[in-house]
Amino acid sequence: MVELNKPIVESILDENMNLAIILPKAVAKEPVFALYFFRVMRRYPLHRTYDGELPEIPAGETVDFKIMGETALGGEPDILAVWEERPFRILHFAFGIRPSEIWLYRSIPAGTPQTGWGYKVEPPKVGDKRDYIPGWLSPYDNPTVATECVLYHKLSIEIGLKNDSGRPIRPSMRILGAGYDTIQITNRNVIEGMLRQKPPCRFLTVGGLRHFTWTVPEEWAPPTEVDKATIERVLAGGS
Amino acid sequence: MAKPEDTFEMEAEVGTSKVPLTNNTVPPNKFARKVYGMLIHNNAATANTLTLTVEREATVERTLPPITLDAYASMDIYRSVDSPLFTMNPGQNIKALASANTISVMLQAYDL
Repeated sequence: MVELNKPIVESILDENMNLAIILPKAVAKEPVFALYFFRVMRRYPLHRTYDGELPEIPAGETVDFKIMGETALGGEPDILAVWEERPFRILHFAFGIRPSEIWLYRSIPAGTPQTGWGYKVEPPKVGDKRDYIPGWLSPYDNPTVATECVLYHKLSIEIGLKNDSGRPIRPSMRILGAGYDTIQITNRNVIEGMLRQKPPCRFLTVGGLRHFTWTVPEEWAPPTEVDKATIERVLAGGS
Repeated sequence: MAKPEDTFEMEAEVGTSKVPLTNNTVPPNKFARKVYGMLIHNNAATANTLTLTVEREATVERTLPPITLDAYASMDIYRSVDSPLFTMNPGQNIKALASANTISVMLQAYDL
């Protein structure tokens, strides 16, 4: 079990470690999941502050979902875009938020319903009293897995913000994590071993396990398809 | 526990007419506002008394003990964030009144 307030730096993978990206292929009566396996060959620090790029938000107001632009929210180029020249680059990071009363909403991929709750199926809207991360849960100085993100070429993220305080605030954010150069693992025997954690493999969900439309780089080899029981076992850390 | 970036000021130049401080209303979605610091300065050449009132819209719900300063005197009180001077509730606001012109007031607070 990973605590929600676990620092992201404790979840970043080392070189030569393995990871698997889990994407839901069908979630009907018998769910099927697509797994893409990778080995981290090089790891680069991913660190950037994002502060002057953000607007001052009046008390109680929101900023709707936008990409994180180089100079401002919503402006191209997107600093979290992975260019097509790097189909095997995977970004793994979290957001640190300052101050505590700023709420962060994430949309990965943009417009996808992602909720921790069971009573709503539409995508969260900025300002909702659900599916946001308050600053105190992923502080600027120590971003936590509560805001953990995995991105690759063809997978986008938009962020939204709310100022939950009674005063105007110009928030500060900090992106902390790693960019991995990976090679895809396609050997069936190795993959079968990873599904039993021999060798160890970190399984990462991207947009949740609920069905959503996703695409991956054309350069990626076809995925390994597994059933719900296998996913439950690997996400529980079982072998 | 409130961190430095979570604290803010409420301030005003206070004369003989009651005035609201900046950021003076506790939002309804908050549990409470804790005021833990105060810096005041009497700009008058005579003794001057500052009265702070905690109100809901225009209804006075609390009057804090008045503070009298000598001519041109200053006073500051800073408590730790976990033992604040006083608490305000959601929907309440704070206003100030001086017995003579003027007193500069700055309060330090955070919301829970």
